[in-house]
Amino acid sequence: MSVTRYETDSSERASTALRAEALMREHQRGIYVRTDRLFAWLLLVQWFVALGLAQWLSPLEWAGVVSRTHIHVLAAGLLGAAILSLPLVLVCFRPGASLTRQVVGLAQMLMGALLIHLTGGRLETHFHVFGSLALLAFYRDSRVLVSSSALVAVDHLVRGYVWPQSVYGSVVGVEWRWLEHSGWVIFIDVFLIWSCRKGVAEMRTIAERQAELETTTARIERTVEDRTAELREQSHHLEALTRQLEVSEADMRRAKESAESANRSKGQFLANMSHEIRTPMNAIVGMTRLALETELTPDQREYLDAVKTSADALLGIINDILDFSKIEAGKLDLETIPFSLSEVLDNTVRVFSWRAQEKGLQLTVRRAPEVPEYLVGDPGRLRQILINLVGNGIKFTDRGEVSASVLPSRGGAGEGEVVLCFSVRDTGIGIPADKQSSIFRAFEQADGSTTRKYGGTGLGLAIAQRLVEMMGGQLWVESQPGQGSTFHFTAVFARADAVSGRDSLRGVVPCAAPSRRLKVRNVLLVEDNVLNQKLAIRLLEKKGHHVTVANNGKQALAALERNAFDVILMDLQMPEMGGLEATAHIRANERGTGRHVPIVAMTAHALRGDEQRCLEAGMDGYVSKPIDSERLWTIIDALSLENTLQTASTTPIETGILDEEALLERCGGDVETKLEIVQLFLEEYPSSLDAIRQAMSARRGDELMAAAHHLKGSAVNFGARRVVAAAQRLEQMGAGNHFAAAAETLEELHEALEELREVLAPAGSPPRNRTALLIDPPLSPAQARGVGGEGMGTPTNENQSHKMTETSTHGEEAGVCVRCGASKTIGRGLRRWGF
Amino acid sequence: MRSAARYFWIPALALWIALLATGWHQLLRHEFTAGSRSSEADDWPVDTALTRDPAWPTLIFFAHRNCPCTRASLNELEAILSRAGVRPRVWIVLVSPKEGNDDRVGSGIEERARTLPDARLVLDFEGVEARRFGARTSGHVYLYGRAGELAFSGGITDARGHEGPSLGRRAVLRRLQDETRERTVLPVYGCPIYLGDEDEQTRER
Repeated sequence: MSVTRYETDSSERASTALRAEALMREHQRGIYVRTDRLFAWLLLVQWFVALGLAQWLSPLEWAGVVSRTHIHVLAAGLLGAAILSLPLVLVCFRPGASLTRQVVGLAQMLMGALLIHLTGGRLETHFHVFGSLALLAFYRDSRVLVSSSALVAVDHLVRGYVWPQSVYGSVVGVEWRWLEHSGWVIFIDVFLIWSCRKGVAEMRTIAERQAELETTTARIERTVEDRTAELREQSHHLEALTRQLEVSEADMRRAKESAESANRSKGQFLANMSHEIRTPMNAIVGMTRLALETELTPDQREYLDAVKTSADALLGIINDILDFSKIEAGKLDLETIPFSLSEVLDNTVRVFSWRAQEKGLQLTVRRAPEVPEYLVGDPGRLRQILINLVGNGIKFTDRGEVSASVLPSRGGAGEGEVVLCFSVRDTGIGIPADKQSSIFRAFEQADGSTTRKYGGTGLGLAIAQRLVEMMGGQLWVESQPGQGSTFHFTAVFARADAVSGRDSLRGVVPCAAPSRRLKVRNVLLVEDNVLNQKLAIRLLEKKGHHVTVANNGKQALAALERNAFDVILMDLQMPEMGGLEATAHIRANERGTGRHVPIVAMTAHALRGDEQRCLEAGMDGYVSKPIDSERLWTIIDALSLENTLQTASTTPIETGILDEEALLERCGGDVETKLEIVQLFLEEYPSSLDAIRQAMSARRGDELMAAAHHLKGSAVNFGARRVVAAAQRLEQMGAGNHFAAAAETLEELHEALEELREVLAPAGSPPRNRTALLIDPPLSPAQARGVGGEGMGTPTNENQSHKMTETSTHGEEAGVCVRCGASKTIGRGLRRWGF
Repeated sequence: MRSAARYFWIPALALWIALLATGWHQLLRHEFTAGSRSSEADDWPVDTALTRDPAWPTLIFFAHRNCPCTRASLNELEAILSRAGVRPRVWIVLVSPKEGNDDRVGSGIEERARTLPDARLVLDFEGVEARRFGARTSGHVYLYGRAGELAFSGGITDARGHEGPSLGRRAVLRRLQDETRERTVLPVYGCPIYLGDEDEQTRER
């Protein structure tokens, strides 16, 4: 390799030297040819000058009276022509040749001599010799200077001897004068020759550099060509790879589409299975409950208890499988709502208190003081995790205790966030070290005997672990076989301020109300499943409600045309017209009428987005099958009240704008407190409304949810159900980032708030400036309007015991008689919500 | 091809050199051929119309009125006069071979002569004065001493129409600076004032 490189370098050097020589010659020849041409023209010019000069200075010579052409004229013409003849021919036919240069040089010097003669030997004309030598140096060929100077020297030498006076003007010093004259020529020749040689050396250097440059350029070009060839080859290779990748990508795309299709099929399968399994389960659980409420023989009760237990267990298993499937499919979203941690912990303990007591276990919960009380997160899923862990602890512990604790965890929290560490410790059977990792895998337990002895699907911990991970935490276990286990998990929550936290509790945590007094309602049940129809009818009628059944959406619309209903229970999947479509028609028919029949979705659809789709379609509530009767009663109770009032009257109080009685009750009967609350609300709600508007315009779901929630929490104190319902829908829209129907709902909320403000404004005025008017028993709408129309703050109905409310401090608003009869019912409904 | 070129160009070169040598020889021969002259008078001619100041040397310059070669002689005369220790009385005699001014061709000689300082210009029609002094060639210079003796006779250029240091300039200057008392006679280079015998015959007619 090195030998080859050496040979290459040597060859390259030789080639460069040859090229430099060629360039040098080429350059020199260029100079020679250019200078040849220059002198050709110069000689011609000088010839013409000589002719002109001779003709001007000495046109004629005389002999007495006879004249003839002066010999100078003849010499200029003929001798001059002779002088430039050969150089011109050579320049034309042998440009650049050495002979040409030499002849040109001689001719130039001879032309100078001729001019000297023609001017009568003027001293100044002798400078022509030096000028000519300088010009001849253009050739950069010292030989031309030597020959030309030699001509001058020989001329002087020869003529000096033959006609000395013709050269020196004197016959004296002939021996040395030629040397003096020639010396001056040689003097300038020395410098000109040195200049020529220097010029040639520089030309050679330039030629060598140019040759080296060309060699380098050629080398670079060769390298570039080599590299280009390599790149081309690599490009071909890459193109081939790209083609392969494209093929692979197409395959992958097809595989992805296939997988997505399979996933969609799986999702659809899940939805269908959920519906198909839950529908009969709904019937089994419901009918069993109904059956257990009848008089039964002990055996029958035992059998039905077994059926109920099995059905509940089966429902738990189905829920676990659905949860796990949803998590695996990425279709499970966590809620982000304010909640009370103590409530969640207490609720968990309450669930297991009976079982713990039954097994003789001590069940305790500890919350460190520094743990925030109010958080923002998904309380339902947190409760699910805790229930799973505490339930496992109780399940696998025969004696001792099960304790749950929560401590703040260090680090990992962002601004406004808190990381909590939950621990559930039991003194149960414990888990062997080699099994501790497998228990978190789906469908796996510590060993097969565990399943046989304790039951379970093996999904609980897997689900808990996935939920914990979704909450930004980790789940792990510390356990000693025979001594017990401690499950730890961390989770990240946002901090909630105390007010919104408390508000949220009013809104989202239903208060247990075992002694509920339900009002009789007209209920339209839209359900195609006969079994579910029977179950729902039995449940509803058992509570004293009147039930009208429609088998599908069309029948529901027809029923609505004939009768008014307090509430509609609507299944989603039905033949001919589904629940969503029917709801859209109902809401369209209501538009402009001021009516709003509450519609509660009642369906076995349990997948993500179902509830949101229902609310967006215009429904007011959602109950999944199997029906949680407590939840159903709560929702019906709350929603149907509004409808009842709406259909009964159009007065503000009767349309669910205000429940003054409930408000007063919440204030402990203290009118002053009530007025302060009213005043506070009137001052604060516009900012909440603005916050909702801003959140909607910025399309920020979390802000919309928070603002709507805050407003809802405030409005619920007044029994302002329309406001509450609209705010709740906005809150849910914010939680799901669904803004499609938000504007319409906002308009509805605004109208409801305006109505509420009109009613509240007199009540919210300072007490010293108004006269309170509370009328009981209720006034008719006409009476109510009449009171308002007769003048501000003027008591008009002397038959009623009432308080008087002065309308306005400025006398701009009419007084309103607030009817309290119906508000008692509203108040009860609100109290069930936890107020 | 290369030798063929050589066979062509070398003879061409030789021919060129020969041609130039011939031409050059002709030119030089013309320039260095002295004009004819007659015998000089030893003393100041008595019949001349020119006057002489015995207090000063007298220099007489004869020139053909149209001879361009004489310009170099006039330049030399000016150089001599500017360098001379003793300034002679100077006569410049412009010989017109014919009577009248119709032969003047505008050679510039007369104008140049008028520029010489302290020189008296005389127009000598038909060469009367030239004959008195014996001058036959344009540019002939006569220098007479204070006593009227001829000190120099000849040209003050060493070739026809060729200015520059010359034997004549040197001789005149030496005489004017009294460095020599010898008479110097030198050839004269210039146009003939007369056309030989034919011219003489014409004059006699």
